[in-house]
Amino acid sequence: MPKPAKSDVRTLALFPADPALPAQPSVRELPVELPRRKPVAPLAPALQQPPGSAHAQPGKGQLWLAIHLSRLALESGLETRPRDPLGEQTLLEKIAAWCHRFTPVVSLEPPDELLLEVKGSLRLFGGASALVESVAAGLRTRGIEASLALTPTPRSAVWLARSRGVRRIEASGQIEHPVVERAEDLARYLQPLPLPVLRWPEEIVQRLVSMGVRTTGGLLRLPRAGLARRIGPHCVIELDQALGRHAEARRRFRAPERFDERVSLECEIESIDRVTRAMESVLHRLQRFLRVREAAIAALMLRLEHRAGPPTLVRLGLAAPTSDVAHLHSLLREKLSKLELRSPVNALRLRSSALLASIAANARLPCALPRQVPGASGGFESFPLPAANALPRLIERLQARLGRAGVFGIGSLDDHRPERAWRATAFDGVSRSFSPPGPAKVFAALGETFAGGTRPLWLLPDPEPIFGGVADPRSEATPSAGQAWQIESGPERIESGWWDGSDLMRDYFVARSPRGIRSWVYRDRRAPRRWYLHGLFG
Amino acid sequence: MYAELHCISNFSFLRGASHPEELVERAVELGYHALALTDECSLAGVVRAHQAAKEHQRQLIVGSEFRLVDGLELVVLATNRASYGRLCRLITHARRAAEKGSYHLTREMLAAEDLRECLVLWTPGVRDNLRATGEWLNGSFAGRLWIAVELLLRGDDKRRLAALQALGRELGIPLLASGAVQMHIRERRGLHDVMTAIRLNVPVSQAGKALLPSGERHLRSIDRLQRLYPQELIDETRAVAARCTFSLDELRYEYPHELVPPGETAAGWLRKLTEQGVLERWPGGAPPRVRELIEYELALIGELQYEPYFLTVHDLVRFARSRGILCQGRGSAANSAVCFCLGVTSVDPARQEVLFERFISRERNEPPDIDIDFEHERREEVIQYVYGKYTRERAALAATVITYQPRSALRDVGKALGFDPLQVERLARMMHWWDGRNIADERIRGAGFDPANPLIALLLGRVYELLGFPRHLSQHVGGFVISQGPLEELVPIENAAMPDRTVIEWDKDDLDDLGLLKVDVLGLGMLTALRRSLDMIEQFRGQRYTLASIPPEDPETYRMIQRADTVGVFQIESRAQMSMLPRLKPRNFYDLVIEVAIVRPGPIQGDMVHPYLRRRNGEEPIDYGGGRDEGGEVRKVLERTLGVPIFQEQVMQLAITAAGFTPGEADDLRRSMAAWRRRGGLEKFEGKLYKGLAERGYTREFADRIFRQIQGFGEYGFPEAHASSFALLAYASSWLKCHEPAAFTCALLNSQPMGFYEPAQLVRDARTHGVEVRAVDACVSDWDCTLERREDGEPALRLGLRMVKGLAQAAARRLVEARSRSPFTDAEDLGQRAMLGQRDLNALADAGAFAKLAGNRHRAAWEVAGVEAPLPLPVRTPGEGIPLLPAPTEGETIVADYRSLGLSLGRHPLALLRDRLREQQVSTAKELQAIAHGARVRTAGLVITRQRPASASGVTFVTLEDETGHVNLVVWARVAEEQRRPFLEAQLLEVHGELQRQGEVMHVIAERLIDKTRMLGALKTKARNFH
Repeated sequence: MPKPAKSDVRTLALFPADPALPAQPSVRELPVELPRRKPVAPLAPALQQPPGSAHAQPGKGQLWLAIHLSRLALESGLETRPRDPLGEQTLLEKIAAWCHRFTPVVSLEPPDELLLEVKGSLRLFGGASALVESVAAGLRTRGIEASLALTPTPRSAVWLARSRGVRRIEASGQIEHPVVERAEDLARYLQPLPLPVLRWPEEIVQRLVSMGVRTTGGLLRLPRAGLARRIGPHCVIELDQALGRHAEARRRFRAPERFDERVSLECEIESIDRVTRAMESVLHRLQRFLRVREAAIAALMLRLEHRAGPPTLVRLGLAAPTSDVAHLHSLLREKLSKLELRSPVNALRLRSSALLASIAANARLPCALPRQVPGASGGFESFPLPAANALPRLIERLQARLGRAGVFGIGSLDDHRPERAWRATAFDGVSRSFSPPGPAKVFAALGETFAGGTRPLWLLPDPEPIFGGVADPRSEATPSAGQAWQIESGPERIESGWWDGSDLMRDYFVARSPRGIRSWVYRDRRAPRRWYLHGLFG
Repeated sequence: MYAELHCISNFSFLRGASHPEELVERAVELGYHALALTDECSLAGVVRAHQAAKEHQRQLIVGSEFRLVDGLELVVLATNRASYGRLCRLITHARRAAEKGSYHLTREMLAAEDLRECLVLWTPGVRDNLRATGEWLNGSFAGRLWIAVELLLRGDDKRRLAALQALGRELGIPLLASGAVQMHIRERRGLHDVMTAIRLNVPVSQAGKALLPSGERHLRSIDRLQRLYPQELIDETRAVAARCTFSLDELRYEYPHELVPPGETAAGWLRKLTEQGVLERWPGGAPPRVRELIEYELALIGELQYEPYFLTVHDLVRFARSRGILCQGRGSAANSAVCFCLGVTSVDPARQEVLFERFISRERNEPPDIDIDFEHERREEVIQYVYGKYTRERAALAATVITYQPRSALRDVGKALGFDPLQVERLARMMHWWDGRNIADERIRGAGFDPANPLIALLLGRVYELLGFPRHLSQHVGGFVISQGPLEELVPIENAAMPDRTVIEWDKDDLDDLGLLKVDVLGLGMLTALRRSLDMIEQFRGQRYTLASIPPEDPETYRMIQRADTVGVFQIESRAQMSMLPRLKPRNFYDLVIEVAIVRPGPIQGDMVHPYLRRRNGEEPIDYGGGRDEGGEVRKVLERTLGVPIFQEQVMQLAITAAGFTPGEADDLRRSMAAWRRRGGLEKFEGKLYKGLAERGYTREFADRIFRQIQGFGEYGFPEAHASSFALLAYASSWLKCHEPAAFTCALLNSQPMGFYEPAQLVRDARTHGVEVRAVDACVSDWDCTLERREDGEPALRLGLRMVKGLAQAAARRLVEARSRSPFTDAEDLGQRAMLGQRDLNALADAGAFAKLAGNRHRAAWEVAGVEAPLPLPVRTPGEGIPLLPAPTEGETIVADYRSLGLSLGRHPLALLRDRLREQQVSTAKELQAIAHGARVRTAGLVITRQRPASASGVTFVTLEDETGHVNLVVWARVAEEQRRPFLEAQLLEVHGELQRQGEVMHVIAERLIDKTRMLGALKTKARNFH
């Protein structure tokens, strides 16, 4: 699929082109300055807590469990893939969410590690070894290869977990996860660790290697002050942190929030109408939820559960993030109205996408005082909209009714071949990615004049052969009026496109049809050199 | 009749889609009256077009198109020699006002140019303010200005024509027809699209309207033009063509005059210089044979008026000598008695048998060919001397036209067709093994593609079209053009990539074609090494040798050469040469000349090597091709090489004496030989050669061999004159290696990179020859490697600080300077006083250069890491605790040696791995010596060279080194391709294969290749386990 570069959305099919409308709804085009669109995790609740509690407090009597995700496939060189930082982060967050069952204090150590402070959970899980074992077992059943270590300091835990990962690759046998409960034992465990485990800057490791130092033990044998002078104080502090001589804090991880509510219905519903009504109370709560957090959403999933059979899913993707629940409601209604229930509904669940910072600054605009919208079902609050929102709204509504592929824009493409000089563009304000629409039923409506010949606004989807032919303009014979096509101007020679297998070789003319319609015709330059009608001038 | 006056070739890089020759030939076919070649601000293609037009006796008009900064587009045509000079100057000025590869021209600049007698065609664009522009142009070019009407079926041709006609009437500017041609036939449309995409750096599919809408910009038939244009516009083209009478043949070259002192003639001055030389070379007078030669040569030079050329060459050599720069001329004219007297060459005419009368050919009337090699590091001084003496207005470097090669064509076309860059890279890498012009199907399949796939077919189709297209102009390595008048009136000059360099727009062949003269100023690393050796010997022993005074024909030196004990010497150190030496056993200088010439593609492909060796060993009678050799002419040509033609000249002479070529034809053949790989064109000589030889009774087999040899000479044609110049350097370097190995190795190390071998091999070789090599030491070493006097008075080689990787030369200079004031007390002192940064200190510590100051490498690293950044006043830090650092093991030391110095004075790394290798039944190089022919063997070693001679049809010679010596591998193409990764990537390679012996030469034919590089890393692992 060629990348649709160099094109610009000119008009929207079925709409008059209005230059006042922005082609792409954009937050930046609103008349007031707004917070940038970015995920706001962790959200308000986390921020409302006193700042210290977001971090795990360093101190005595802690035990840290480090989880080091194995990169076996990468390390052994079987397969190399480009790194995917986003994917790594997502994976870490997923695991972190799962780890919350062992302790509330989980910290992400990107790219490939997690730390759990588990001192308080030991009793619950039957002691250190048992806890480590159950975390390991849980990860295993989830298909995650990891090595673990439990120690009194976070840094030593991470180092030890990493080093086990290394050992595992070399020996590829079963691994035993080290458990060190007493700080006095740390030095003994850390001594054999090879330097790369510390993940210090390559330059420092190289410098140490050139001194013949290859393990943590080698480091510990060197005079501290001299060492700090040579490799910098940070590294020495890290050593101290690992040994518990220096405190160290970790940032606590919390999962990003989303709205997710399930309502069991007291009695089964069989009509869409009543589903819609049942949905309203949930939407009310969604509205409150969003307002408290000053958040917006870009997608909404409604799940209808039935007594039997798979649930019905109604997915709502928005052209632009919104916190306007009235709008959401009307869109959902639009969707539901086209739904046919296969069996009665006994529960419904409404789940939002991850929260985005709100663009609904309109609530703060003086002109946008809340008011009741008469006739709006359920009495939702609604606000007058800035004009910029009108187009996406209209599109969303039309798409809700006609299907996403039924509404699309038209872009001009940079190509000499008339049939390739335009394309349909999908309208998707969130992803803004191009997705090809279904079979095009719309004529190209491009009014562009190219250097040289004129082109018609309307192109036939497929050129139609002209039977009887057209009088060759370059021959002297005058075609008899009323019968043949009359050449007005031309030719414009187009020969292009050999690279994608549809090489054209045509001479285009402006001609009048026998019925007097001004048309765009061409003669194929290849045998049998036939004539075709390709477009109509307005 | 029609003349096309606006036509660009592929010398408008990535715009024109046809060669100049193709355009001319097509114009001739179509019956055009004349053709103008008007490349964009360039005359780079005109010589080729001129040659083609001359061949077809058609008029070629020289011109150039320009696009001004404001968008105005013009074509400027030259009418006569003077206007041609002005056009050249205009191009020069526009080019020099911009970066390399582009130009800059404004209306102001144009108005300031003198363009008298040039004709101007205006191609009005859509956006111009036509009236104002027309009036402006009329103001400058009235009476020689036309509007070029270019009707290209854009849909509005009629309107356009009418509008331009009205404009012409209004402004009083006549109109003429033009095709704005960019390709010779419409079928180049696809290639044109690809080139546009490459130029814009987008895939074709995204180039959109930047592509041509149709293929109309080709040379159209007169018929079609007559249907498109009013007759008077077509007639006007003839009228313009008739005013352009200039031909490139009018260019005449004038030699610089200043080399002849006032009151002297060129001939008289050359004779004077020659006689001076005779007195220096032969204080007692020249031998009669030489005297005779000198007289003969001077007469010939005088007849052809080449004195200024010899004076020019002499001047360069004289300059070099005054600066102590070693140099040597080579080429047919260089090895003349006159050149020996002028000091251009050191090859004594008495020492060789070249037939001098052919050093310049009367028939060819072609400038003599002399290349001068200078020490590579000091060539720039000579170049600057040339610029200084003749000024940039009169001296410039010739261009080299860089053309599309399979790899670059694949890359660019692949990208233009939207192939995945990784895929294209994979395909392009297969072109590693390129031989000839075809991209073999197996290569395509090897890269994981199906040659039958339509996309691949499309790709390859375009690649074949693009091959050989010029891509940009680069500077020739050293070909200077020097003229009496301003050069920019002879040929446009543009900026080169290097600052302070300018190149003319023509390459060597163009200059040859026009009979212009050039001097090649080349750089040769061996000359640097030789000069350094001679300097060091003088310093150490107080005796000064020169190339001419190194004792000739020294038997000990020849014995060494016969053993192929030639690591480091000039030319005869390559694998192929080394395997030839024990067979050819050179005994005298002429044997060396043959040795240098015989291991070349020509003689190898012509299967000349084995017959020569057999005849030399008396195993086969000497014959002369079996022909009727009346008058013994052929015998005379081939006698000195035992009936086997080895040198290029011999083949040429054979074509004349044995196949009935005229000297002119033989010369054409020589040129075609050089070019046939690029352009083809040997076929026309093939028939004539075979027929001529058969008629004179030569065997078919002899004829086959000659023809194959002609093909093999190709771009590597090796004349005897070159061979003897090279042989002299080979001999001189061999003599030094034999008698002064320490000085010679020292000089080689100081002249790196050069030659076939790395410092590690050079040092190892020197040590096996008894040279004591001393380690790099911050307390002793200079930047260069030096000689130290041992107690017994003989030299020892001290490695220099230049060997230390990562040490800046400026830092080393400060170190040496600080040390000369007082010796260093410790690393801290050194760092402070020499003002060294951590990088330089680390580099020295890694190299083990602090052994005396700080102890082992580990301690040194600890010490230097503690050296504070140099302060204005040295501040000593108080003592710290003693670090408990382990001492480096032998393995660690060797690995660090290699990492930092590229060589180790300790044991060979394989010595440390030997126990483990033995477990795997791997034999040493020495053990292989005792194994019989045909045995299956395993061996392993560091890969020191991979060499793939162009002549060896896909064989790669790989040399492995272990602690006992070298093993030579023969890797067939199939093995190399099937086991590419170990073959290309292994540093430590294990090989299973068959041992083969031919006399003293032993190879292992590789079957299985195993990459054992990891074992080298294991040195560290193992070492770590020891402590």
